[in-house]
Amino acid sequence: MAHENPKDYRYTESHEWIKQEGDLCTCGITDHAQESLTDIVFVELPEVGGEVAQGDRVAVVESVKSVSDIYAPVSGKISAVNQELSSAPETINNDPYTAGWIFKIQCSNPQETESLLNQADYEKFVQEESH
Amino acid sequence: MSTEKKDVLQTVLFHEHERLGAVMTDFSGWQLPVYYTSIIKEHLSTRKAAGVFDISHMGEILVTGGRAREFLQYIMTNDLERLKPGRCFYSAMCNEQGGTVDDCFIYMFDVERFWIIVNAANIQKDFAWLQTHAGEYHIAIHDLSSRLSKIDVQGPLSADLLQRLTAHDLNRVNRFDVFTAPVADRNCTLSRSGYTAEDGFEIYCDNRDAAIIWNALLTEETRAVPVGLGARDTLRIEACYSLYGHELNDTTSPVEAGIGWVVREKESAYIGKDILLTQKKQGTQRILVAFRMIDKGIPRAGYPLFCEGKECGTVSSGCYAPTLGLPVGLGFVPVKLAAADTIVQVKIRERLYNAQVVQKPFYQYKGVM
Repeated sequence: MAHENPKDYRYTESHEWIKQEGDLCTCGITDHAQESLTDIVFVELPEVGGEVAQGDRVAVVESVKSVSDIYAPVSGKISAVNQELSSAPETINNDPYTAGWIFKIQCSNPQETESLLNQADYEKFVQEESH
Repeated sequence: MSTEKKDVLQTVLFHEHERLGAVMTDFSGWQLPVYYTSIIKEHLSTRKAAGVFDISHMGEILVTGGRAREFLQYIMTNDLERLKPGRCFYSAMCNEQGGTVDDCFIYMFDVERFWIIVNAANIQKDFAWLQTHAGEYHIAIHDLSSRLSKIDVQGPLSADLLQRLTAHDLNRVNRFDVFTAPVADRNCTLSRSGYTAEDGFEIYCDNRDAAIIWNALLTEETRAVPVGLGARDTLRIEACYSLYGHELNDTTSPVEAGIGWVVREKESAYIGKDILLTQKKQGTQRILVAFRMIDKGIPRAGYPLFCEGKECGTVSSGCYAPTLGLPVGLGFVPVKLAAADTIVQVKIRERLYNAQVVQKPFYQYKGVM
């Protein structure tokens, strides 16, 4: 059940995605990440209002067997978290790019997204990584 | 993915796992399937129908000789007098300090011929341990591990499934019986046993027959699914069965790990006897408990346990338990904290999460007796 990586999103090498609307960035984990984890059973969300720097560990996603850190793709302030995931963490498996968003960052430096991968480069990266 | 290929062992079913799209993991130097589709699906399929597991990495050690039983009586904590030909039982093999060298199943074919089924990571250690103590017994010890494959079929439909492939009447087979029979026309040694708390069979066959038996068990008419190590672990955690390296090790005794029932008051001497029987009578300082999470968080092996603000123990195994639908764990705590309903905390990423000690197991054995 592959979900297409949206063309207008940006991606990190640690498999987060980011959707930028002005200086508001919605973040989650990619289809590739959710598929590798399978069976997500727990999400630890960051606190709203917290300041984060690009690359900081901000959330944790746990599958039955593994624990994975989720990093902030950009710097800024956490402006919202997806509380739905507390009771339905499997939403990330079912719909990683829309309903499965994890947190939103009011980004302090919108230029940071420029350093992230676009859809084509991310897909190339995933392919190379798995070989 | 790492491309490093340093002495990675593969079972003869490796290509079957690849064909089935398994995600592989390293386990005790072996490259083994962790799951094929999803740990939760495979776990629940085993509980509701049947799962087929490649357990070929485990070791089989053959012990033969006129004094084989006497030798095993000296090595093992369980009482070999209670084991009959055509039967198997669980035992521990301990050192002089009462620590566990390994936990194992012993299969008795006749009074002079036994198999010891051991953990993959311990095959060499166990073999050396047996040889070191074989001295006066004039027995022969052979490691059959590299010649034999082991396939487990577990779940309420496992007898129906296996019966399609063998003429041997499985209705007449009791739990812990050991027998030889053709499966898919290949000679196998089987036992009605397993490590999932379901009815099931463990099938031992020659490596060259493994793929035929594996594929016969997974034909389209059956409702069986292949199950990886991920679900094997969650199934055994729900059953509160020990995993060597987690609940047991060279410095943890079977009594501490809650399997004191395999430590028997035998008349003859055996390694670790005095200290183990003393532990059984007087108790130990720490003991293995089962707990379920009250707060939302998943306990994992190695996380510290707290009680009243003080560190009091360690989680030995933990996971999200698919049958229960909640996170559970096993861990060692001082005996005074071992009573059911005791509240302890698990430290998960610098925060304390409440958990409640519960009666073992989380999931009661459901198979034939």
